[in-house]
Amino acid sequence: MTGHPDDLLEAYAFGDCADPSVAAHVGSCGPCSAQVSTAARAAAWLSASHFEAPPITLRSRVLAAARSVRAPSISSALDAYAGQVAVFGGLLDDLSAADWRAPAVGGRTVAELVSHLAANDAQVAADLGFTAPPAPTARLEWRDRSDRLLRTVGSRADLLGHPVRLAGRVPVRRPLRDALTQRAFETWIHHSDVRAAIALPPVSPPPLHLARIVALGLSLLPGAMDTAGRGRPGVAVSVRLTGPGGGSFTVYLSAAAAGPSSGGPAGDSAAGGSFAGSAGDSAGGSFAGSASDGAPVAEVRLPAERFGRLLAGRIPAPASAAEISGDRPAALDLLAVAATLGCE
Amino acid sequence: MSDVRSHADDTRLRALLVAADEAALTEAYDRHAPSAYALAARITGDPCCAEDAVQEAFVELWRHPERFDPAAGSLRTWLCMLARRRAIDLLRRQSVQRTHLTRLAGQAPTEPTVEDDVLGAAQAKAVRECVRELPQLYRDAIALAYYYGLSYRQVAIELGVPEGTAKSRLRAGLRLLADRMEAAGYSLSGQ
Repeated sequence: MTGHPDDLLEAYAFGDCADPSVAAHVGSCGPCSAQVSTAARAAAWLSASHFEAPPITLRSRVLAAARSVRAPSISSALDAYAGQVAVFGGLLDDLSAADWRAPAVGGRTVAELVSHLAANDAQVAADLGFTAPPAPTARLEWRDRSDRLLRTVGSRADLLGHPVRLAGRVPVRRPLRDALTQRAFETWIHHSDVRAAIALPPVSPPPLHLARIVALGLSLLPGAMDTAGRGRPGVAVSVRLTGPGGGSFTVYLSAAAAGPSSGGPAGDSAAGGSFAGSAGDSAGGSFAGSASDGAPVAEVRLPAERFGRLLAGRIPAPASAAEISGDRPAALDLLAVAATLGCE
Repeated sequence: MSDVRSHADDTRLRALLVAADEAALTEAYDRHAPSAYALAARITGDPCCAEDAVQEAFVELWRHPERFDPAAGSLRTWLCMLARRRAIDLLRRQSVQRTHLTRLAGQAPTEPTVEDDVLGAAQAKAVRECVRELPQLYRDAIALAYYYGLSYRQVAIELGVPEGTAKSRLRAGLRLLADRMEAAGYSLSGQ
C-alpha cells in the first residue's frame, strides 16, 4: 500500500498522531478512512468500558485550573444566542448532502441560507474588530463565525455596550447586547427555515429568550415606523403578546414622540427610544407602560411566538391573525412595519 | 432516543463552553469525569497521575472547546481521548523501562465503582464482555496499542512477533470489537 500512511492509521484514530499530512490523506482516501473509522469506533468503546469516581477534591481542582487559563463569562447576555447556536448546530450536524442542497426560503438553498446567517454573525464580529478567514463549507463557516462571536463575548463582557450594526434592511446601530439578541432571533428563524426545507416542524425558543427577542423587536418599532414614513407622533398602541414569552407593552408609533420618562431621542439601550414594556409572562401580564401623554389608540393581541415570526417576515401582517381593537389602521400599520424587521 | 438526546446535550455543552459558561464545564465534568478517570487510572496505574490526566483533559476542553466536533463523536469519547493521551504521556515520563505485559497481567478486569448512568453502565458492561471474549492475542495487541500508545514495532517487540503479525492482530481485534458492539445493538452516539 505504497503512498498510504498505513503504519499510522491506528495512532491517528486514537488521537496519537497529529501529522496534518495523515489527516489530509485520510480525508481523501476511502480505504484509509474506513480503517481509521473502525479503529476510532473501537477506541470509543474501549474508553467507555469503565467508570470510576475520581476523588471529590479533583472537581474543585479542575475548576480552579480551568479558571486560571480562561476566565468564565460573567454575563447572561449570551444565553439566548448560545442556546440557539446549540440547537441549530445539532440540526446541521445531521443534514445529508441532499438536505444541504434543498430549496429553502427566499430562493436560497439550505447551504446558502446558513452561509447568509454566518455572514450576519461575522458582521457583528467585524464591528468588534475581528475578521474571519474563508471556510470551505457553509456548516464550517457558520460554526466558525458563531464560535468566534461566542468566544469573544464570553470573555469580554466589557464589549456589551459597544455599538454595532444590526442586520436588516435599514442600518441601525445598537449595543452589542442587543445585537446578540438579534443573533439569537435570526438563528432561531433560520433554524426553523432549515427544518421547513427538510419537512420538519418548526421550533420555539425557550420563553425567556423569546421574551427578549420580541422586546428587542418592539423597541425597534418606533424608529422603524418613522423610517417607513408611517410615524405617528404621540400615538401609542397596546401590544399584548400571549403565551410563553409574552407580556403587555405600550409601543409608540414614532420615535419623535418619546414618552415623558425617556427624556430624549432614541438612545442605545434596549429599552431606549419610545418603547416601554414589561416582559412578564402572559399569565400575569398586566398592562405596563408610560403612556401618560395619552391612552393607546388600539390594542393588538397575538401569541408571542407568532409575533416573533411576523418580525422575521415569515408571517405577513394581514395573515398574522392578530386580534385588533380600537384604531384599526394604526394597529395594521404597526404590524406591517413590524413585519419588515427581519434580518434579510 | 437517548442517542438524539445525548448528541443534543453535547452540542449544547459545546456552545456554552465556547461562550465560557462555567456551569457547562461542571456539567461536563460531572457527566464524564468517571469515564476519563477510570481510563487514566487503567493506563497509569497511579491515582495521582490519573487525576493529573483528567485535570489536563478538562482544562484542554475549557481552553479549546471549538476543537470538539459533535459530528465526529461524543463528548465522552473526546474527553477520554484527551485523558488517554495525557495519561500515556505521564506514564512515559515516569517509567524508564517497564514491561507492559507484566503490568497488563497485574490488571485484573476491574469492576466499575460508579454506574449511576444506567445506559452507560449497560454499554460499559457489554464492552468489557466483548473485550473478554476476544482471543488473547488480539486483546494483548489492543492493550499495548490503545492503553500504552505503542507503535506496531513496539507491539511486535513486546509480543515477540513480526511487525506484520502485530498489525494484523491489532486490526482484527479492533474490527471484532467494533462489529460485535454494533451487532449487539449499541450505538456510539448514545454514550
